[in-house]
Amino acid sequence: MMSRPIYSVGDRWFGRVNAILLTIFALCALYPIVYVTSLSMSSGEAGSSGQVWLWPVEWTLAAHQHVVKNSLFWISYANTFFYTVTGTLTSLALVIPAAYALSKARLRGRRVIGFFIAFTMWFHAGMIPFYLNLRDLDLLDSRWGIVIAFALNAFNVILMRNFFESVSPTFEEAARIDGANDFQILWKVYIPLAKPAIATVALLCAIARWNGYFWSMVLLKTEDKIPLQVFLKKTVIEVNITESVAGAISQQPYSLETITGAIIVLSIIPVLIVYPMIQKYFTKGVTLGGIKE
Amino acid sequence: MSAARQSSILKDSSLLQDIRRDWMLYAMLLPAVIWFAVFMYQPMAGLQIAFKQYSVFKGMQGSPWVGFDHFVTLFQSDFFWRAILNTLMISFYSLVLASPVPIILALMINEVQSTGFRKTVQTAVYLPHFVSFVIVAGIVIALLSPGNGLVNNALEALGLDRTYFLTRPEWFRTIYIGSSIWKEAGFDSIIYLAAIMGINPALYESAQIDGATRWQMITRITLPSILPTIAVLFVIRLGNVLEVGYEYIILLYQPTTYDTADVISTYIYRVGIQGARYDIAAAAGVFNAVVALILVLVANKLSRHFTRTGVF
Amino acid sequence: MAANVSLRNVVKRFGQTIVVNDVDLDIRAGEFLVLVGPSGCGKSTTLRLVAGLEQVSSGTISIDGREVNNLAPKDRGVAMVFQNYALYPHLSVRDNISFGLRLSSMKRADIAAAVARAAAILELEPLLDRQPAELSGGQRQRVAMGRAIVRNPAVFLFDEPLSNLDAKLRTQMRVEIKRLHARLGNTVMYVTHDQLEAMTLADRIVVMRNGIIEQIGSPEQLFDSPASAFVAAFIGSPPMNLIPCTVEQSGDATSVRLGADNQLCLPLAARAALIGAGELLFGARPEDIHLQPRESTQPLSGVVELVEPLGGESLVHVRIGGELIVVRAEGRQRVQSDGPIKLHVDTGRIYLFGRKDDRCVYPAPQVVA
Ligand SMILES: Nc1ncnc2c1ncn2[C@@H]1O[C@H](COP(=O)(O)OP(=O)(O)OP(=O)(O)O)[C@@H](O)[C@H]1O
Ligand SMILES: [Mg+2]
Repeated sequence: MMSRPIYSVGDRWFGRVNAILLTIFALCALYPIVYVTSLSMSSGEAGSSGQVWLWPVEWTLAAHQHVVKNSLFWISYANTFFYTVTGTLTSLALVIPAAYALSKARLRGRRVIGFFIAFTMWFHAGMIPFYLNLRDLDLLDSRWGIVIAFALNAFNVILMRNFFESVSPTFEEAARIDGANDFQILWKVYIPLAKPAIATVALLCAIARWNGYFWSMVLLKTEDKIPLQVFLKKTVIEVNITESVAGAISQQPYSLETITGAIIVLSIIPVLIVYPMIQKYFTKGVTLGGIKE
Repeated sequence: MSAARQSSILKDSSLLQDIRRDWMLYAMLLPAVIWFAVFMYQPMAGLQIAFKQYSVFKGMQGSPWVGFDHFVTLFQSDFFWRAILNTLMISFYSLVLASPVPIILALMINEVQSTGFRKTVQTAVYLPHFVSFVIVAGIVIALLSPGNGLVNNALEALGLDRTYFLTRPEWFRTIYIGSSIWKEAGFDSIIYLAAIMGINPALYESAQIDGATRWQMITRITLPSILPTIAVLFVIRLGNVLEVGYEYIILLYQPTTYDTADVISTYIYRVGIQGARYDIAAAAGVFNAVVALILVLVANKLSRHFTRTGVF
Repeated sequence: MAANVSLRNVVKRFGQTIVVNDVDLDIRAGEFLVLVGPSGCGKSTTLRLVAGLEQVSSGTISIDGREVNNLAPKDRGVAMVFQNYALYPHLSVRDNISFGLRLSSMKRADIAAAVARAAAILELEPLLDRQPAELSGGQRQRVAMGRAIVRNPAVFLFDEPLSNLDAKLRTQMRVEIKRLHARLGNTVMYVTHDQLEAMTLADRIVVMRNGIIEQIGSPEQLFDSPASAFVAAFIGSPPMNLIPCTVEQSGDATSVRLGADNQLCLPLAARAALIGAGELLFGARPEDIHLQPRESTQPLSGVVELVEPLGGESLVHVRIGGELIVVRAEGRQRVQSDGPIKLHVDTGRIYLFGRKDDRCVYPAPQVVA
């Protein structure tokens, strides 16, 4: 990085204006989240009469308490954890060995298989045949169907393969002379070497799992299988779209608005907890497929 | 020396020998290959349904062929044309309005000298990317709520009428693109920031000695240096114009806004998944996928032309 | 433990290109054999064929009399030290050294003992719990050797192990490798670019060129009787002077003409070898050209172009005819730049090589086993 240059007056003003604008942007990025948080902690009366705009009005946790009492909320929360953890682990278990094998020149048919995988990035059958295929495989309304059917994508395989290709082949050769076979080389040498790339792929998978709703909505019919995002869609989106036309409800310490806010806040907490850990990857710049020594 | 012996010398080892020696590699690859075959290629075989009169009772194989009937039906349908048009419009507006934002953001972030401030800004603007579409839609709905949403409160305070934006077709694109910018612009700036980081610092130092202002350095050094990145990403976007965020649209649209909001994928979803007209929806999907593939290939050609390195 | 290694008609192709071409080589048990040659000549490939990291296209490789063509590297009893060391960055020095042993089903106590022994030999004890990133270049090099010797291999393979070190450390490690070999007595195959390393370490040197063996011999043999101008130019520093010449025969006397002004009478012995010869390459080592006349030397005249003082000696660059030659002048002889000079060539120590095929024609090449 450049050392701090000495600026002229005009340039210093430029810097100040830039900083002010960026501050505004940053606040804009955060504001909606702050807003729903405050909304969720305001009284039902304040929430439905639109008094809240920055800080909670008539501070109360009633809405949160109400949401927390809902067993379906917790079931969907637990489901999301299940889908995220098993889904990410399944993805890694499939992606890492495949990418390792594809990174080796001695693999026969490497180009063909690489194309076979990459082709799916440019052409896929689309929603309906994919859906019908899952139906034929009897994976509708199945937990494991959700885990398996979305375990892989070509991008992650290629990302991981590129990383493995960037690892110096002498590590493999040294391990081979030391008597390691391919499984051992992968497990004891390449996986430890590839930790940053694995973390990246795991992160991409986990975020997609945590945030995705579409296919869970399409495939899962049983209420106690649905993940959080589908629960959110049902409670926050569908209810709101109908209710807000119908108008507000009864005399409670919470209102539809504050409940909505509480559900959103409670569901975003894990993301907010994990975010500081992962964002340092991104503030450093992209390191996807980065080379280690 | 006999011909057979000659050829065995020319070949280092036979396929079978290689597979036996490296069987573990093939074993590692097998699960993924099976996965792609089952979940990506098998559905491609299922595309035939687009050319059949599908009946649940007869199944995919038993249903009779109807050739291009479904395509004819589609192209005679105003709704399908509306979906194509909406897809293109949303893509076009995103391309023009949304894609410059991350570039500007990256340029601005790059001008920040203090590491602490820079990290803070980055942390803040990347955050929305990690918020799910459902939550974003929830927040949008809350903010725009006609009864007590912030936006309408503000309008009222300014003496304007309350509007239920989400039921008004003329507002849909603005809402969709605006909230997409909020969600993704920060995160999308990462790739441009990375490109900016790759610029040789000596360029700036010599420009500084030549007396360039910061503005001049941005326009004469930074922007031209990241132009290849901008070009490649622009071309990729062009190739993906048919890919609009249907998962997000489904959350935001209502029958009253279909006029501007219904895109090809949402049309497929409604007709196929919700309406169970699999054959006609699959035909729309085939059309979409084929056009998308052509666009992507053209875009890749273009990008090769611009940068001599293709996207793939 | 030491084993002999033999390569018979070994060929290695990558696609259409032949990288190792019909190599025959016998390495005696306990021998220190150094492979040298220009970049891309196939040294590393030869080493990797022995290691089992590449498969031969044809021919056989045997270690200790046993054909190993189809054996996996670990079953060949070899250990290898790589140019970039290939230390596993996530493992401590101790775990790096014991990596191979832990893969085999060796007992823990035995592994610990083996690591301790290797560490003692290489003086690595204080470093055992460090990570590779916390080591200096020389230390990493020693760890890489530790990883090799802990396996107690019959054959050690080194691929330019010192080329990532600075000059001083390289000298030091060179001595250490030599000591190690003296102590352990394993067979060593050692690839290097550095002719000094080759000269000081080797029992025998193999000079390779374009995938074939140009010459094999002890350092002295290669230095004194190079089989070709190529070898002559490769061994010795600064390299042998090689300049075009013409053989002239008048009556009994045979002489070579170097440019317009200089002629050198050759000993009688040369006559037979040079019958019918015309255009050749004349070779003389910088050490064998003197500024003062000596016994059996003949003067050549030239012009000094440049003097490089090296302290105890200097290198004098002299233009003779159109060619530039280098003379090693011992002591602190004063030489004026740009002045005319007489050079005295030791005719007992000159070489003549074919212009086209590069082979040595005089002195008659020795047949070496
Ligand atoms: N895997 C491979 N595929 C194709 N060609 C190869 C491969 N490995 C080596 N070669 C080629 O074989 C030739 C010999 O390579 P090798 O590594 O043995 O040379 P070297 O003598 O060790 O050179 P250096 O001194 O530069 O290390 C080179 O021309 C190289 O390009
Ligand atoms: Mg080499």
